[in-house]
Amino acid sequence: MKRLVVALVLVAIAWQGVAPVAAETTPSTPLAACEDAALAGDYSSWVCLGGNLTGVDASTGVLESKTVASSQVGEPVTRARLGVSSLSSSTFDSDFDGWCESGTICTRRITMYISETKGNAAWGDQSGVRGTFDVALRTNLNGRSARWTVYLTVDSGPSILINEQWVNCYEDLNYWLDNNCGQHRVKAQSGVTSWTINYSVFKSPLLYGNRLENSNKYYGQTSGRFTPSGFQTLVMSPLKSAEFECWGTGNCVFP
Amino acid sequence: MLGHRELCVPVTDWADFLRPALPTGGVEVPENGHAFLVAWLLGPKRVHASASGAVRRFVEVTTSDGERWAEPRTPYDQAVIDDSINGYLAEAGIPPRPKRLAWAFTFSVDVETEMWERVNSVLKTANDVMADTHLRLLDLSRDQWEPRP
Repeated sequence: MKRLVVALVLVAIAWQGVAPVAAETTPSTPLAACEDAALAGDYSSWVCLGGNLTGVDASTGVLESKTVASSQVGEPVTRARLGVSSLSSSTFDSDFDGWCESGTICTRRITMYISETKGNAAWGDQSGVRGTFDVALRTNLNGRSARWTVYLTVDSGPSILINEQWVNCYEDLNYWLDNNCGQHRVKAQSGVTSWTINYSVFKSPLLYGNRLENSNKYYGQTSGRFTPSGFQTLVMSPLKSAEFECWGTGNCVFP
Repeated sequence: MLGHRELCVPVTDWADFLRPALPTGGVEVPENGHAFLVAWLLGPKRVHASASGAVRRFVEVTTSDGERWAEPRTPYDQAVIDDSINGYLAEAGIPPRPKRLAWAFTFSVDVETEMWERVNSVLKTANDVMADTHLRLLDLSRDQWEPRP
């Protein structure tokens, strides 16, 4: 009997060596799942931000947006993989590339009044991934208004011309189309509305949100259009901030 | 940008707010620029600062994968907070807040809640969200929002 058990174990071990492992066929991150979906679909060009896909249908030329990776896709992201513990005392500019590099979207609620959301993005065409970049949105609440800062940097591939970048404020209306509470165009420090990003971190000047009078939940969302060097213009999937609450006539807070 | 000396704001210094300990029954000044602008206007009789009242803080992290955890606030996080507060104060011509101190209003949370309602009621008249505008409006209408003695 012992010999039979040993033989079965040896067969099992040998079988593991030739059989496909399920984990290897499952995308490890929402971004990887999105890239797989983009390449499996018929898109002439596409952009993934976390698990959100925006692509141009090759046959119709129509721009499509969809979420291809649910929150349960892939293995859990651990603190070590996020690299958050490696943050130093320097500014966000230099630490921007030091956290949340695992192909997902991360939010750090630093206080009840400051929250940062960062997403890993990839872009490409039918032949595969052509480049990657990071985008982050910091929200700073003061009384009943928000201030936003946008961060962008190229991780791989050519430099990118930002044709236009926006931060839009939305009032969360639950089952209705969310109410727009301000559209704010991102500019470079020099005031220009179109600029080029590369491997150094771009930090926008502060964007001043409107006064939020309604007793409700709100969020900010940054999106835009960009043109990688030598490529066509692409539409960036939106990156949404954490929701904040402005109940009654009190101050706005991240719950 | 508006300097506080151009307004009727009493000239003061953050050092005047320093005390050996925070007031008993007081409530923490929210960690944002707008709250510290109000603290500056209220002055050292209504707001105290102390090096002995600091507590350990945590940052909450979430990912789109559904992970969620808390971790100690880092020097980086503190720098982000200080920069946001001091940047707001600078727009109003107020000097930067001293670092590594705990801050509290001398009144209770009920009084604080009422105060913010009155502050926001005064600011409702302005669409401008700039800090210098808030300073001007709040200074002009202090009798409408300042907590009762």
